[in-house]
Amino acid sequence: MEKSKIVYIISVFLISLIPIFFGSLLFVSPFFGDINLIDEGQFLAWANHMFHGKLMYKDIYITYGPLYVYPVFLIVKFVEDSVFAFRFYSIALNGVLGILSVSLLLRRINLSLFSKITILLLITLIPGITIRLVPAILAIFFITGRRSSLNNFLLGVVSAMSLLISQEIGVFVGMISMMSIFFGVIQEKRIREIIFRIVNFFVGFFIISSLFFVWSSYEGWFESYLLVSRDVLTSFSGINLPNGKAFPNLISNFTSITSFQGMLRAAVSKDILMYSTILLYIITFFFLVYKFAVREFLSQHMTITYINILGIFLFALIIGRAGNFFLMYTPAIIILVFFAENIIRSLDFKRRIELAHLIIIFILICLFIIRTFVIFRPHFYQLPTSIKAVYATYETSARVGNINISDGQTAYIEMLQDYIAKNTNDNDYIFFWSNEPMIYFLSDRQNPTAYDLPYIANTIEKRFEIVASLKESRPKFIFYNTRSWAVDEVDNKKRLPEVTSYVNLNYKKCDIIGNVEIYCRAMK
Amino acid sequence: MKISNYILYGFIGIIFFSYILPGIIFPTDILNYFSSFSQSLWQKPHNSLLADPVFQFEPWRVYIKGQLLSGNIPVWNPLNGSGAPFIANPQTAIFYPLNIIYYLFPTKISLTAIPLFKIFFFSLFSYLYLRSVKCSKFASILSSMAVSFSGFFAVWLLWPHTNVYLLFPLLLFLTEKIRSKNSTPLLISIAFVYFMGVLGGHPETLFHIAVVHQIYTLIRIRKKIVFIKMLVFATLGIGLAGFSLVPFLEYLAYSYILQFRLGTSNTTLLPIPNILLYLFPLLFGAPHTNIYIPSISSSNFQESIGGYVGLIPLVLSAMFIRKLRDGLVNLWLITIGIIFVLSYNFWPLSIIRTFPPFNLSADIRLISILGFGIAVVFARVVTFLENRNKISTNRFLGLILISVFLLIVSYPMLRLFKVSEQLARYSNYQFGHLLIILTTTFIFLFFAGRYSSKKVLVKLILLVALFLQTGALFISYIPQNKTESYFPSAKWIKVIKNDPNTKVMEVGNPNFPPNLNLIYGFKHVEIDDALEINEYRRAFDKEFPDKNMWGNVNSAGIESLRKFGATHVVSDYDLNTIRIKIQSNLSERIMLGNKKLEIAFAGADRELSSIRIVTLNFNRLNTCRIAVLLIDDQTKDMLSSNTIDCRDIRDNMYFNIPLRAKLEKGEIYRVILENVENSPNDIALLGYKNKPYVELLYTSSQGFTNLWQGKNMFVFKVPNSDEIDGLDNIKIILDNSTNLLFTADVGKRGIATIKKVKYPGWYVKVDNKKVELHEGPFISFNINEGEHLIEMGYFPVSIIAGIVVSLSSFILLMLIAGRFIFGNNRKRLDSIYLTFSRSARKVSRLYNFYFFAITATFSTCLFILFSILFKASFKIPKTTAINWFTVNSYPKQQEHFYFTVGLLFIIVIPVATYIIYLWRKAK
Repeated sequence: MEKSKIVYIISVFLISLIPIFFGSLLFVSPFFGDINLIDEGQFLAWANHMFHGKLMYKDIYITYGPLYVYPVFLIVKFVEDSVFAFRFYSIALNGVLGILSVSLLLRRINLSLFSKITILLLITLIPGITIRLVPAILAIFFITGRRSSLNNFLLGVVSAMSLLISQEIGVFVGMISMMSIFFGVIQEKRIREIIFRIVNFFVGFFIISSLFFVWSSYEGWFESYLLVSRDVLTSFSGINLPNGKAFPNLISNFTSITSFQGMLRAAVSKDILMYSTILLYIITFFFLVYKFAVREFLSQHMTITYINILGIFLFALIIGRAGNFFLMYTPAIIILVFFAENIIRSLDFKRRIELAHLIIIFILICLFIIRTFVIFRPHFYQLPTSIKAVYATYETSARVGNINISDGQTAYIEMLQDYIAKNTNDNDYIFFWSNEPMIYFLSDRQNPTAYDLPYIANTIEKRFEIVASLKESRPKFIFYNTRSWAVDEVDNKKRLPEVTSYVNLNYKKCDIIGNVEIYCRAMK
Repeated sequence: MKISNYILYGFIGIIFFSYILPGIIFPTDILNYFSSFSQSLWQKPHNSLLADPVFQFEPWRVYIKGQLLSGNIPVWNPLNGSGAPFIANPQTAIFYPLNIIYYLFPTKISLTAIPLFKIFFFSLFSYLYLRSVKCSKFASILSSMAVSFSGFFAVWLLWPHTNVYLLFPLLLFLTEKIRSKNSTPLLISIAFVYFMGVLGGHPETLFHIAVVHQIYTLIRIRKKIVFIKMLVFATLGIGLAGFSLVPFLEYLAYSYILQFRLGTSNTTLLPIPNILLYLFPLLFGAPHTNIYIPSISSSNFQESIGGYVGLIPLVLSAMFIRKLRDGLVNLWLITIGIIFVLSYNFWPLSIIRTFPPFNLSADIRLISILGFGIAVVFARVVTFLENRNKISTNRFLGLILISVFLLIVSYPMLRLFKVSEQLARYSNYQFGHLLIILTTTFIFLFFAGRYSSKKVLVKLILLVALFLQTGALFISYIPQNKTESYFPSAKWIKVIKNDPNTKVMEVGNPNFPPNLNLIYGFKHVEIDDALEINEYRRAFDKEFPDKNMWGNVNSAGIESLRKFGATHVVSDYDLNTIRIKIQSNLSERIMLGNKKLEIAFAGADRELSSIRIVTLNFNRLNTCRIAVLLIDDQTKDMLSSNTIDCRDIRDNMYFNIPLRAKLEKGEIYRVILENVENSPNDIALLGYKNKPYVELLYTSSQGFTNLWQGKNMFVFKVPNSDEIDGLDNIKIILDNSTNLLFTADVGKRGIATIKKVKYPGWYVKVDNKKVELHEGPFISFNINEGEHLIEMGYFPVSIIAGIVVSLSSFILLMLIAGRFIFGNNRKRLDSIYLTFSRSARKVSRLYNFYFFAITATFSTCLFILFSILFKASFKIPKTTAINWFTVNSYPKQQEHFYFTVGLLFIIVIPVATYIIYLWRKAK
């Protein structure tokens, strides 16, 4: 094996260790940092409900694919029922698999070892990679590879798996797979070869799909999965989206500025950063057109084309949900580094004008990266503590595991655990009206409704479904944390008026602990 | 000039003409037939046969346009027949390209422009086909003019039949091209034409032209592989329209019409006397002239006239056919012969019509192809004549003799068919018609004998002569009306529109036929879409068995109306009466003239309110006055009287004459009708053996609330009729064509019924859980007590399946097209690419960089400028969701719109400019 390859493999391995100790994306280090009662909470709440016999999609409204969620249940069931175990799993899944898939994809691009390691480091340090992107990256890897039977088979496998991990990315992978098959059919002269490739793709696709069908049908949630997936794809791309605000409007942002300082602030704002990403994709498109025009369009440019398409697709997703802006980083980072290396390689430094251009472009790239780092600065401030936390052991609340969380959060969790344990038994239902699904897991109690994050039930059908479930299961307590996250400044009392009127009519506020209002059934 | 230029100039010309033309070319005057739209004295509609365009196609287009402008695809029609599939009804032709004009342009322009476009394209395609079969330019122009103004095309111009039929010559043209050069783009074009054919909206016509086209292909090309390819591409083309075709097949399977046609044999034939119409199309009159006697021709004018393309083509072809017996002419002669035999049902070919699908389709319309065939042979004859220096005098003399012979022979023929008595009154008209046809034939033959390709004037005379036999005869077939006549709002409509839940039922005379309601935006219990959901129609017929000669419901009880959720009734008589027929036979026409018609009856112990008779006005303005008297037979006292102005009478309609009198049980009374003015024209009554049909209407309280009353027209409110039964305290949250969402209380467990038709795809969820639906025409289901959220929605699997079929066909066609482009044209593409890349390489990298930077900056600025200048307004979509967008009334879709349009704008302009720059540089 070549020396550079060995170095690359070792580098990939070492970089993969970073998220495990340091953290990735929204999940901080497995050993350190307050529990995210919402994002981490929803997964563990689902796992807990499944542990008690509820079925995915049928009894629980899940917005992700089953392959993203089911492993959490397996970990809770067979490894350890703690937040720590889940964190470890999610970091490994999001961070390590992400790094490995990108490292594979980089084989398709002609970059120096330094650039490749830079890309991997940047996507690790700037939280952006998630398991949801992995099938898309792998699909590009297989599409841009040799047109072998195995590649087509694996492309089929990845396409099916991507649908089972994230519906939206699944649609994207399906589209680019079809595109690649389409171009293959057009270009290939031998009909037999065409048929063989298509068959390979569909065999891969149907093996996974069939296994999934057998599994989900056996457990009885296949139809529910299809209905929820349709709901997720349609409601999350339309007006019924539960969470999301207006996409920043640059024109109105700039026209409302009155001072020079304001102008400067706006120029380095997060909004500009979002627009700069789409600018990058447009520039890349022009670059690819130019490369094609001058007959310098190599196979690596095809890879860049697909990455660019992925970037634009993710950006279109962000248009709907500006809060998910971290999704745009992975393709942007790969393209940025690719450009940087290409510029350095191709420009003639002896010519002043080219040097001047190089400097300007480099400054812009650096500004982008620095600005991104600045956004995630709290993440880096925790670096020393995160590393220290690996070696320590902690006494924490039940089901938290070996994580160093703040005293405030420990007190909050224990207060609720204590109250629930004293006032309910194992068969009692409790309902968290505010968005804190983690408490279901931490208190090991069941939610009477399908919605662990009630804000997701924002259409009237879902609101009535919650009311119907509350009527049927009559939870003993309903909790409402007045300080909990009001998604997009619209709290759940306002979002769910039918639930509010039901609770007001059938429950009374019987206790307040901390910021949590506790409602118990009104005697009638 | 290139074809694209013709199309461009044609487009501009037609749009401009449609814009400057005063009024509308549309038969809205047909509404005058109804008392509901014409309470003043009757105005004669110009053409009595143009009902469907006014009562079906135009209301559908209005509905489609409204839905599309609101951002919805009209998959379902919630306003008729308690709901019906809409996209599945092919005649709506939602996606037919010419109908896009309707969606984009004002109604006034599109009503004129669409028929003109049809003529334009049909003549263009016919010309192209005729040229491809080696007809001369002039012969092609002459012949394409003949077919474009032929009987079939002129009379069916406003129907979807011609949407499809105009593609026939295009198919033949492409087939001829494939015959000379078997190429993939031509086969793809065939697929595209079939696709258009399905979108055209008349499957029956598509079936006819497809059968003839495939046989034509088989005989003309004679290569099995090409024929198979043609079949495959035609299938792919039809598959492209899967999104419309699959729902149609589903609707057909559930339709009343299929069950009806399966239960009856196809006996629609053309009567033999109508063969005369190939020579003299208006011989038996025509609906757009002052004379129209359908009983003489024993057939509808529209059906009978389909084969007419002018006497000139027929005569000229007959004379020279022996000189021209090549393969193409033989093929067309055989086709003409077969179609002729089929249309007039001559044995043994008539056996074909007993087999499916011929036994289900109206094969008489095949005669359109017969006419087209005559035109093709005619074009070949004219070409033949052009190639000869001079036609012999003998032959020319022969032609004239033929004309004279025809003139002489026509009259005895009329006598032979025993229609002369009725025609005698119109002999001047008939003679005038014969004179025009034969004179123009004579002129044509005279100049054709002296034909020389250099003489423009001769050509012009020939064109004019032929036009006088075709276009000129039908030019006023579709009337030009004032813009105000376009679906005027009547007073009674304003009255019932006040109720937001209006669902109308028509009783008695046709006053407000189904589909018209789409124009005015309320519901109608019935539907007229030529298909109808079988279960609903059967339930309707069972509930309302009393039908009149129009097939309309003649009486309706409150309970029956409630079952169908009807809130209002439009009737020609007072529903708060009891009807007693004293003479119910309608089989004869009784001309009133100066006769005195009497009918006696025994009275009942009730108060007579009015009598109801059936009148005929022969579709003309009558100036007589009729006295109606009610006499006590014993005392001879006149108990009541009334006078009818004949100008109030409409054809084949019930006429309600108020005659108020208290009658005694067992007493004999007499109703007398007599013409009190000796006017030159009069009306007739339907009856039997000189006894007119008479109904007595006795006053009785049936519980209807009378909202409006006019001449022969009543509007009633049905008491306590609701759209939803079995539920209380209903609060509607969302109500659109495919969704109904509401909350309701249920006091006691029971069955809820929503008076919307049950059809595959509809589901009901109670508290977000699907429920089982009961058997029956309406949506009904069990429901428990308590407060519920009820959601009713339409998720048509057939449309999804159709989209899959369309996409699959599209992908296959794209693959075939792609393989063709990249396979067969690789060298050409490579050379173009090489030329481009040479130009690109000559430009420095920095220059390229700045090129894109400047053009992209320019397009970005342009986009921002456009966004500011033409600020689009976005509404919040209808939703029940509560989220940041709805709380802040922020229309989210604008971001997707600006992103997509902006991205395309910023990318396309620089790239297009770059390509143009390189192209110019390469040149």
